[in-house]
Amino acid sequence: MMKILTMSKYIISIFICLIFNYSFSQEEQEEVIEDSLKIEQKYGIRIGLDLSKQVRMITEDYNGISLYGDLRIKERLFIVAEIGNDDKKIFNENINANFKGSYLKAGFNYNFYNNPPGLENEIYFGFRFATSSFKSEVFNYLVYDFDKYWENGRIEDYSEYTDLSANWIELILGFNAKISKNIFMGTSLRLNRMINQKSPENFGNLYIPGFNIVTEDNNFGTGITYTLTYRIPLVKK
Amino acid sequence: MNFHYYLRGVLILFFLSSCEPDDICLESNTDTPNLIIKFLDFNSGENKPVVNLKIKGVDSENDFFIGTVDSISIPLSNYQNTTPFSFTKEFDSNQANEDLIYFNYVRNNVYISRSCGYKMEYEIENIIVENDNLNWIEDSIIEKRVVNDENSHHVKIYH
Repeated sequence: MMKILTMSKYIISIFICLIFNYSFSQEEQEEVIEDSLKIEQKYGIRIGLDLSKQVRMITEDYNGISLYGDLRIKERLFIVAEIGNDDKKIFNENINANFKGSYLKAGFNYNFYNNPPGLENEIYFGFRFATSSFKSEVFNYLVYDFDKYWENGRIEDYSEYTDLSANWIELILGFNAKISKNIFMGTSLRLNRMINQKSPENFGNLYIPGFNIVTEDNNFGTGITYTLTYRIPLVKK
Repeated sequence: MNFHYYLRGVLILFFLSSCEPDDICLESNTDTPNLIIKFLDFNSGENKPVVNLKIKGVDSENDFFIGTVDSISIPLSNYQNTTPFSFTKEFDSNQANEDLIYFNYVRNNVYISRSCGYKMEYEIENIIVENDNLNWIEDSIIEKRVVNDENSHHVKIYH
């Protein structure tokens, strides 16, 4: 399962690379023509969808959706909000469990890329504060026992833990490229740092909606998004 | 700087992030504890080994232990609240004497970690030695009701 996921990441990365190569070379030609024109910076609200979720729905035992929105407030600064929900099954050799809930992330992106005149690409650093509220379920587990005298199979013992939560921050490196008028495609790599989490007494938060996989004794996590966004052309400056 | 260079850099980071660490359960984590039984003399209360003892789970086809010991640790079943064991003294002679012992307990699962999962702990309710008029086991005492470690014995058997 992990291998399929890893492979899909590679394939998507290559695919996106090709799209960007194509769109970039197109824009490079336009640049020459637009060079003498007065540059008009467009400000507006962008809304979008994180397509990595749809890919994960094919490659993993996962369901989810994530909506993205940003507002350009300065030439290089965007205010960003993301909202979504995750429903993820964890089937490992010891535990079968499910994690389900929703999350909200808010913060900003700072575009540090100097666009040649007329282009609207972004390479940005981003920061988010994120909060998630979720529940977990354990379906069955294997008892950790070195003694092999009795047959050791999975024990069906359902429990549900509700009212769980987590807060974390995300540091983001990402880019957006304009692929046609008002349509952008982008991807971001995220490093998540847990601030606090509420876990149940006799179970752990193996997965947190929005945060992703939680590894043992480690406050860090990672995430990837592939977003397609549409700019509503409201304001022109 | 060219947009392409940035883009390639970000993609390389993606490749790296595709590697996630595997959680491995370290053997240093304590596992599900066994029940430790100590054999004592019924009259003097001193340690007294059981000669040529054969221990077998009633629901199992294999012998668990054969030998002469004054204490033994046995595994309880994680699927039910009772584990019956057959304890045969001097099993290889014509003096062989088999006693059936029922260990009744409550199971509590205890979460360890993602990689190790759950272990089981037990709380012993009672121990019943089936009466066959020729029991070699005279008495049994629960010394430590909660079985959550293997540091000391939980049950004393007098014979």
